Amino acid sequence: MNPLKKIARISCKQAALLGTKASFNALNLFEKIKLKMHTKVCVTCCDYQKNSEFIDQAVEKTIRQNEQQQHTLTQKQRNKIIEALR
Amino acid sequence: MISAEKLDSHTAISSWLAKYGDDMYSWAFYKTSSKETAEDLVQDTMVSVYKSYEKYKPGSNPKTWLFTILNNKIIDYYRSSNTQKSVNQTTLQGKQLEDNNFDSDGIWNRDQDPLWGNTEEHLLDNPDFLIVMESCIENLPPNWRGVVLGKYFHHKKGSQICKELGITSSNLWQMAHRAKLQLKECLEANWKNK
Repeated sequence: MNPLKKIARISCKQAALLGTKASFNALNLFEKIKLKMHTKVCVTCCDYQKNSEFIDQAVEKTIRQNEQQQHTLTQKQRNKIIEALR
Repeated sequence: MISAEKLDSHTAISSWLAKYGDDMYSWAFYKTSSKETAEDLVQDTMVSVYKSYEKYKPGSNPKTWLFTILNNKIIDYYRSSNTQKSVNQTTLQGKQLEDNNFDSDGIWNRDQDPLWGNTEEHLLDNPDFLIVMESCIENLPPNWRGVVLGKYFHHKKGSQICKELGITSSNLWQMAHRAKLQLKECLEANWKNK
């Protein structure tokens, strides 16, 4: 095996961690190469990466929705809070 | 016997709760994605305000004061979720998740089928799906939830998230990675196979 390939070889578990790190734009050049070389040959990691990006979008959508929603305290919750003021 | 002063502060805080309670609750929910936590944070804020009522300057806007204290409570909530004891617990949970997903060589145990089936573009507009997603986020351990939400609030800036949560960057990647695995499992269990 090409020595560079050997050095850059990572497991799927490491690739998944690097993929998460990549989503924060935090990979260094060597990590970028390692991730790219791995996902080029690993179909399962490619599929996981797509799922992972989808989850990111779904989280974003859910939080944005929460930002716009007004939630109401029930009378029971209000009474409990007033009760705690003693 | 409650003193007249205490009675005054009690009345004031009850009226503030009536007026600003829902805004505080909604904000706390937005910042924590947990209704239970949001309720506790509003209660803690009101108790703090009650105890330090003499610091309130009559005539100033009570909402500003309430929200300052609420925001401090939110920071404390996430900070306390990153104490050594809580981190040890979630580390165990995280290792379990990794064992469910990877074999001893770090290879995936099974194929990663698309979570969205054939309906990707519509799924993010599907209210039923978003309800499931919301409960999956709510069920994350608080420190992982802090990382997932922090990524959104701080526009993916890892250093800011670490500073706010009081964690190291390698902890951040590890927690974000494990939170992702948990969200994936939660969606697989509660949405895909519905």
